[in-house]
Amino acid sequence: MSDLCASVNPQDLLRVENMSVAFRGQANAWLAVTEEVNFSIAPSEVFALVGESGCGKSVTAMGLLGLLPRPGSKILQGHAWFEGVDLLALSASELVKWRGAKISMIFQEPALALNPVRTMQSQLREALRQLPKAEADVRIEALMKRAGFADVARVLRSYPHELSGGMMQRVMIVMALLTKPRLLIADEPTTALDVTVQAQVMSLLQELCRETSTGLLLITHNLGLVAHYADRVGVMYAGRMVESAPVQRLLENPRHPYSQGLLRAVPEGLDSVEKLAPIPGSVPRPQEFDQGCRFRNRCPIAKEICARKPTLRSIGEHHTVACEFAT
Amino acid sequence: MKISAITQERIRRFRANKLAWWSLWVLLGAYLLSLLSPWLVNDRPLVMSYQGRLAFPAFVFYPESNFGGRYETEADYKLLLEEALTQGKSVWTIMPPIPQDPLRARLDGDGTPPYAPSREHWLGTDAHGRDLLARLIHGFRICMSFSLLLTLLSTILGVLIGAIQGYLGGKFDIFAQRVIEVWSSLPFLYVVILIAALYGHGFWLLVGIMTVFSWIGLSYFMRGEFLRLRDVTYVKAARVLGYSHWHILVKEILPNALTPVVTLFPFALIGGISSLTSLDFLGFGLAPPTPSWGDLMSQGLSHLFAPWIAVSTVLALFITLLLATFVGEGLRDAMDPKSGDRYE
Amino acid sequence: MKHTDEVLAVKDLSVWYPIQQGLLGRVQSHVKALRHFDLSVKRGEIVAVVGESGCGKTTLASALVGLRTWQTGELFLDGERLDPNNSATWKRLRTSVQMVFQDPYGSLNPRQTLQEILLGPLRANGIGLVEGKVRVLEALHQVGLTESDLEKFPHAFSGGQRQRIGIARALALRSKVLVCDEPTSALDVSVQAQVLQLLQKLRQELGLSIILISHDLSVVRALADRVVVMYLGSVVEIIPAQNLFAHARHPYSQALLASVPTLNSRKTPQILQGEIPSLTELPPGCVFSSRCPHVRPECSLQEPALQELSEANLVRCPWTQELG
Repeated sequence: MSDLCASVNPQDLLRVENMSVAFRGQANAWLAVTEEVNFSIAPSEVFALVGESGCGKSVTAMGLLGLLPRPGSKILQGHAWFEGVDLLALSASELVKWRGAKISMIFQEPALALNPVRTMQSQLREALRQLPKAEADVRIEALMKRAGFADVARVLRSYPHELSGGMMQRVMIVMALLTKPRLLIADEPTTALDVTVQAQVMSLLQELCRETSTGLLLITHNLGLVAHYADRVGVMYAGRMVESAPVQRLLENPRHPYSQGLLRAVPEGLDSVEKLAPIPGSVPRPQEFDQGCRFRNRCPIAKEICARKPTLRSIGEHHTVACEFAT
Repeated sequence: MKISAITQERIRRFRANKLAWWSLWVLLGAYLLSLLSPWLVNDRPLVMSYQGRLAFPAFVFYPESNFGGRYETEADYKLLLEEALTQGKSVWTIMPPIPQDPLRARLDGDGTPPYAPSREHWLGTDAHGRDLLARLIHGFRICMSFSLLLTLLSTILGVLIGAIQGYLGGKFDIFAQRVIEVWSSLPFLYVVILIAALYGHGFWLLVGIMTVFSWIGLSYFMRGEFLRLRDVTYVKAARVLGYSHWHILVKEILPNALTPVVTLFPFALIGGISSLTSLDFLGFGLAPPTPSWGDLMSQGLSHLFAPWIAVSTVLALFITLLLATFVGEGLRDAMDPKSGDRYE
Repeated sequence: MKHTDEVLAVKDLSVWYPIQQGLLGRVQSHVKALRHFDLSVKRGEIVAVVGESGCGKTTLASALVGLRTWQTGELFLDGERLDPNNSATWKRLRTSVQMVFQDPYGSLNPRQTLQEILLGPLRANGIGLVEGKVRVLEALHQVGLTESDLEKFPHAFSGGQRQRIGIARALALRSKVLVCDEPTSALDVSVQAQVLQLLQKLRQELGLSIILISHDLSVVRALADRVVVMYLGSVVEIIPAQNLFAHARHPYSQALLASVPTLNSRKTPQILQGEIPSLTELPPGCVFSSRCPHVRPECSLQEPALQELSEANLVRCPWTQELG
């Protein structure tokens, strides 16, 4: 714990401490899906939360904004300090004031986030409903132009089904940034898009966030995106944060066996799959979570000590690892 | 055949719903008992010894002449016993638990029927002097059997037609939909009245006509399910793997499309009971003197000064439908729990 | 002439989807999802088909297993010509050409045990019960599962295992060609490699030919021998996999490669301007002309033919020599 205090920066835009989320499982018992997640985001920084299915990254993001399904879920513990307020302690009605205005979110499937019977313009205006219409329109037009739309008027007149996935996602980004939020959470924003469109959308996201000084919490499983667009990264596995570091450090010097395994399993620059090193076994499900290191069944260097809960250690500048053998 | 985990989980959820679970057992139990009504509710003794001779009147027909009567019609055992006792003949009987017959009118009360509840007639009698409790129980048997049969037949028809519609799609589907729309706009009640007027009020005839009109609702659901499941990956895989169309329909899609069938069943049952009762109430259903709740309701309405008729009938109907509703809701929740987000 | 090395060949394959409009649903026009596609696959060869949405790769996969009607096209199995619009052809092809689907969670019937999933298709194709069971066990071992798994239902298996079951299903039928439609896209990275290595092993041990449909160029490079790049329903380039990253010639191939964010280099992904046109309104001439960074006026006049630049490299662009 003392190691962590050194890296706590009072200027942090968002600081998540020991956040745990539980879902209601079979026989009405509570199942902890994430456990003691810690990370922080500096203003205007891009922080990527990386992990595979079931690691809890989306759950963490949704939990921050109170978007987890009720009554089937609850925040077991933890704080999420944002502008002096603990988001996790706010009531539903109080959170409404923060969502959209100070913290925005965009999701994986833009088609599902947009109202199919309203034009883009009307939906964009709704984001700025506090402002008079004329002023809102000016801002919308400016940001849409900035988003690279050649024919802004046409797009504004369109309904969601008339636009492609990439276009819809770009409109979503505009919608999210219209209110100049301090933090934007992007949950797998390009997973459903083609790779050429992905490049377009990600670079737009990066540019606009820089211009509006908005911090970005990028949730993804794509390490390539992390390498190119993120400043710092947190790797999650089976509900826990196992490593967090500046991106370059993680890519060059991953210390947790899972991070190492993940980087080795990516088929990049290889001429043959033989050189691929898949991680044997599969990700445990929440029902199988236990107190010890949850990676030990698949870890090449696991020892008996791993049956105990791993401690989070700081091993360098902003680099923390939850593994007994990291140092 | 191993029950899939999905089905096991659904059964578990249903059992966990105490209200639904017990309602199911009460309903089922009551129905099974009512099936035994010829032997549980009858004014003929189960076993009788008349002057040393054994007889089983509840099971076998004995003419009056057997017991010293004049005619060949069935003996009236109540009178027979009274007579035997006064005459001192040796006789003993084992009577059914409810020693009343739903069809025999007993006019030996005070004044004219309907007679109020008494020690003899626990719920009183109807306007013709027939025991009300006996009529209710036999009526329960008849309307439940009718409705179960109706629901079963219309389910089979609805599933078959809806499945083929949904699976084939295209022109066949469009054509069939138009036919169904025309068919469903036929005035059901008029048809029933007409046919009943022409061919009489038989039980099977009624089941037949109503089946022919009731399958439509389910076919809509099945059509929807099949249209949806037709494009699911494992069905596409089945086609690529070489399974025949019929196999895919029955083995791949159907087991996964049964949710509407199961959830609609109790409500269809309720519908069947209500329909029959309504028809009988109006006089277009089963012919008298069949013990039917509709008939009793009608009597209850016209004899409001004898409230035991109306009250007991309405209560019986209400409880039956309520229990069926609980089962239906329980099934629906078991099949598709919406609230209470589970982490699957 | 019979090419004994060639196991499957397709010539001039086109697949059109009719657009029905009007009250009576009359067919007004077509979406030409796949146009004049040629492919020849040798025994033990892995051919990758890459492209983005609307390029026709999914349509191609469906057409290759008989799920779509062929507008035009010829089909050859082991050199023998077969009629692609005759159901008897596909009945015969069931045991030679099979498909592995993208979605591991939807490709298995949740109510069937593994035994039923693997044995059922064998019985449906006329294989006896005894032999069927033998084949099922063989296929299980080949993909790394055990006999005790046979009683389990799909939900007991992980995504990677389910994909392996999908592969086993095809192996049990003794398929010669496996059409894999994005077999690893829905899997976690740490598990993708398991499936990829399995495919490689099967190719080496059984001489299995694989048509790999994918959008992941790194996977393609590591696993495939040849790559077919598609855009809006037509082939724009065919190139050996090891040359793909360094020597792709078609502007679209280059743009595709440049868009992929890689771990190892900090090269910024290149952004293609414009939107992907809809398949109902194809641009005149070269289909890529509306987004090509090197477009010239001549490009909109006529759709270029597939030219052979070198023995193993075909490109549908007449300007590649000049562009260098």
